[in-house]
Amino acid sequence: MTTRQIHNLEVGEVFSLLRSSADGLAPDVVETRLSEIGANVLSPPPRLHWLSTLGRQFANLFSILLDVSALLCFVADRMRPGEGMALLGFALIGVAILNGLFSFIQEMRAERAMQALEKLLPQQIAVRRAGREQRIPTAELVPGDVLLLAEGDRVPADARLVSSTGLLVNNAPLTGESRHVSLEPGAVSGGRLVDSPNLVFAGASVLRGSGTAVVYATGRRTEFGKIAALSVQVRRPPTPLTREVGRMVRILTALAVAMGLSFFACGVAIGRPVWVNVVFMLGIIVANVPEGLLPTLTLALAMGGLRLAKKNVLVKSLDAVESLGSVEVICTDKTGTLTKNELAVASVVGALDARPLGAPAARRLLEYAVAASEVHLQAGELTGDPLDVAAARALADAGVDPLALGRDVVRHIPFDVERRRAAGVIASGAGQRFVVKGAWEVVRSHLTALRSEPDVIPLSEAELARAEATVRRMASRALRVIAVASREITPETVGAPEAELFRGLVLEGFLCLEDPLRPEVPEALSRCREAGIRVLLVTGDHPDTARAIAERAGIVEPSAGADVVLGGDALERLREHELVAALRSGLAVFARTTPEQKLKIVGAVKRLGLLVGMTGDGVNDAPALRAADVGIAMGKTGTDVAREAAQIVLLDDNFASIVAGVEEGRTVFSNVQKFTSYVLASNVPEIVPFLCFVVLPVPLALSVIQILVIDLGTDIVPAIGLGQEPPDGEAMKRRPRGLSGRLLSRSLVLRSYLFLGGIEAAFAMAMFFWVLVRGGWHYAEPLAADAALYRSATTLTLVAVVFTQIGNLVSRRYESRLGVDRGLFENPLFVVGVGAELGFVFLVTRWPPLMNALETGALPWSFIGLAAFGAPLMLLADYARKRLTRRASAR
Amino acid sequence: MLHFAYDGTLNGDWLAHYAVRLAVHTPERRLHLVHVRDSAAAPDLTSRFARISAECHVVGVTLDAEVVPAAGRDVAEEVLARVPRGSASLLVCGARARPRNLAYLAGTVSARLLASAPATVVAIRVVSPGILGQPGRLLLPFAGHPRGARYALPFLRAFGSDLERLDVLVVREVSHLRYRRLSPSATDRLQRVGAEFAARIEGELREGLGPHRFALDTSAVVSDDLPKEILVHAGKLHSRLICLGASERSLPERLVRGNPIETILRDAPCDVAVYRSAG
Repeated sequence: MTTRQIHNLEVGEVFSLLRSSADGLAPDVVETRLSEIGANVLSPPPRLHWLSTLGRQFANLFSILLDVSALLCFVADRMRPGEGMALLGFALIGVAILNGLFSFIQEMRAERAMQALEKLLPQQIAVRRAGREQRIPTAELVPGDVLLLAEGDRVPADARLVSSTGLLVNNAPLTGESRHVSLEPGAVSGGRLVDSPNLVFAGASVLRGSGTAVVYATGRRTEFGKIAALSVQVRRPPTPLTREVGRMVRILTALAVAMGLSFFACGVAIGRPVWVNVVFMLGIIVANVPEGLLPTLTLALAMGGLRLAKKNVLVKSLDAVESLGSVEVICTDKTGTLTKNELAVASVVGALDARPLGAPAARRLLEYAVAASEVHLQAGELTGDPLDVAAARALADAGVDPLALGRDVVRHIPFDVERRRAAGVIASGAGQRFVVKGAWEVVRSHLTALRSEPDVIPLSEAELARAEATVRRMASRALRVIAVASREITPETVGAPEAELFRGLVLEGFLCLEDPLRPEVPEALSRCREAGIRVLLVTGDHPDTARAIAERAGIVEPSAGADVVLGGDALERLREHELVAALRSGLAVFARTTPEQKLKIVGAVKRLGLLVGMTGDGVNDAPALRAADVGIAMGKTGTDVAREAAQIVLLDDNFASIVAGVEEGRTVFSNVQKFTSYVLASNVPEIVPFLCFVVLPVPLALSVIQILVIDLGTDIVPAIGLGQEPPDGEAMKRRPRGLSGRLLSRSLVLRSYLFLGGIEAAFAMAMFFWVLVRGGWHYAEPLAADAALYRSATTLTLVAVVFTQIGNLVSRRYESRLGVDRGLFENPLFVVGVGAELGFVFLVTRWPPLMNALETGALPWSFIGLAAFGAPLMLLADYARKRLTRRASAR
Repeated sequence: MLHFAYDGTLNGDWLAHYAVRLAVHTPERRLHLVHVRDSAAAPDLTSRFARISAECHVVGVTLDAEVVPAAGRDVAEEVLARVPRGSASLLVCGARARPRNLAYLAGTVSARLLASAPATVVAIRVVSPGILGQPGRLLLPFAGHPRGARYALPFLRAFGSDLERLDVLVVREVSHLRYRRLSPSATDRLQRVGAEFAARIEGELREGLGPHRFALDTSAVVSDDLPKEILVHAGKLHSRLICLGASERSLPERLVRGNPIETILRDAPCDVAVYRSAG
């Protein structure tokens, strides 16, 4: 028993099985069906869901950490009013709100994808109900409704044709190909529903003709509705940076709270008053929480986004700036991305041997092709169908003016979409010549002879087979092959019917056109290989064409086996684990694929544990763009739906821009690691004074306000500077980070806290005690908070931390080199950062208002000079570490 | 024997496509239609039966239509009284939209039939009448129930050669909080457990559905939202029927985590069948 679907039914059965009739549905039936099936609308979001979305942005650990930091500032302000702590608290809350709102706007973009989809459906449509024709809102359509389609209409639901007159539709929103499809109402046997020529689908537009159709699916049950639902429902995985920042925040928060509580417990154990212990606990927490880190991160990403925009990569979500840098696999389209998306004549070949024709014969063939074309001159440029323009340009290159030739054309038969051919009659010497150009499959049925220079020979089966072989051979080189044929006619037959003219043609040869590879693509592919990024070509083209382009671009080696290419049918049959295995064994080209299959490819790549970037431009690419770790839409040729579903928009549709974006993304991550290490290092000299103060009978070397000034003041501008470091040339030589790459790696934590932080703390505490001892202080002797000696000591401690941080800043510029050897003015913000730190040192020791606010004292220049040694000390010590590490890893 | 609890509504008419197609694959090729006349307004049964009969005729199925007066008992009891107990029978009933946004299944006649399950009972919500009861591509989701595919087999067998493709989806459900913090390695571990379960299901299905040729694929995912995952996969895989085992979540569980069946019945992009086997 064969399965029967709606497209397999005879017209009469359609009405019966959908419980409808040619007169349409009665109003009460419509009402029942509307309540059963629902309105013909794409999945509306739940009411007030934006509130929960907004709430979620403020309930993550990132926000909570900022809020807690702000709370600590308010507590500090309450305890010590007038020190500006409340202002800092408000600043942190502002950052939390900005971050939350930014994320909210990103998340609500999914809604915009849905809105873009809704625009493809009409508001009203003509229907027949209870025998009466009327226009109704499309939302009220139900299965069984009889649609009356006319030229210019957009189809509002999936429907089965029951009658039509020359109906031609464009199914681009569904198929991704702007192909015109001619529809007929008759039943078809077998075949896929979506390929059926008697069905119209929601989102399609009627280009020509009219028809009557019975609705069989509405709303999210239409094929278009399913794409729309997937475009919104498919979850975008959290970006690697989101994961890593979340992990970092958890670790740092846990560390801060654990240390704070430990100090509180120690204080209670040694008998200090509870209130004092609370204050110190808060101090420890404040010292441990890198308050400036998260705002700096946001700023670094935002500025990274701006730099990407200059490289024609528009970033819609800040996290995507870095995500692009971590991709391990890029699935790319062909047309427009790897190629220029413009046709050019690559060669003109003879019919039998695929050899290029000699100059006179090639020129003649081009003349015939142009005579069957329609090109115009507009603003000095040839315009018209890309194929026609390519032929005209080639003819111009051959020394013949195509426009002058056009004046000799006495009759033109325009390109017929269905018959895939165009023709013309040209004055040829004393006579007339009928010329045709078109698809080989179309032209071959009109041939009786072919030209084999200098003769014209009758067409036998053997010659036909050789011509077929020529076509296949050229197609396998990624060339589009157009047959050109002609015959002499008498002046009387110029106006004859087309059927008569198309008889007895002589095949002149083939015009081979190509969409040339973008010149920058091979270099970009080579950089991808160097960077450990795998590139997969996903195209709707023939496997031979796809492979030829992949070879030229460098995606596959010419020596690679046939198993590097997989066709769409085979892909459809493959099970997920089989596809994963094929990818593992080198599959690199997906040919004849449909946009829906992109989702399967994304899923399989993810099963390999790899981060994947996917390009797309059509409406039905939207689900795959959302499912990929990085969705990349085409800015020039892409639809609004694709652009809204993606995180990144390529303004020039160029693959090379993706690679430039990858480099920028990797640089951003590397910069984030640099300033994270920089910021964390200063936590240690902030904690150690508290540790000494609790454990030993010594004064506190840094107050809470001084700690906050380092975290939110002196560290911020240099950290922002580190966040703007340009690519160092090493970024594309490293393997991709993938999912396992850590922002807060063990080595970074150990280096920052134990080594860099240890040096800073030791130097700063040495400065502190040096001033005290020099001023006559004795061990265990208490000092008043406003004593001049105490103020000078804490000031020098603060200045020492700032100077060692300058050394740390310079050292962070390179992973393995000293740091001073990187151009000072390569990154202006870096200079500003160092300047800001030096300026702070001056102000904190010389400007009374700031000195009062920060409880600092004046220092002689000699003291400051001594503290300044902290910078080279830090730089040289870290360079020694770098060399030792490099030597160890070399061993 | 295939029994069909027909309610005389439009949904019942669409459901009849399923009943007829499923009856084709029963040994007797008979469709026993039971319509209980309750207090609701009596539908025009003659023309409706004629249409169903015509459909049966086309595919060589004999229709036994039985109209029963409610006679004091409720509709579910009347239907149950006419369905023989045992796994050899299959009872098809509907799950349709109800006024005032009431649940599709909970508290309905179909829910009582599913709960009693004298035979294999399947409640189907039809939203794509255009597929004419021949979905062909089925999605069979599991959340890791130890019984595996055993309970789904009687229902799936009823599709016979109409079954073209069966996608098994195993969802390893974790809490929202845990899901957001799952490391890639933990996700991979959970997925592997899911894949093992899926492989077991596949074995049971291949053995239980016999030699009939159909495409079978399995996938395992980790998620914090079971219904959403099922809906997304139904869209991705172009499934035309989602087959769900009747929920065994307790009341507290339903209160905390919701009733996934109702969510899927409401939001599905395709038809949905809720099945329960006898015993």
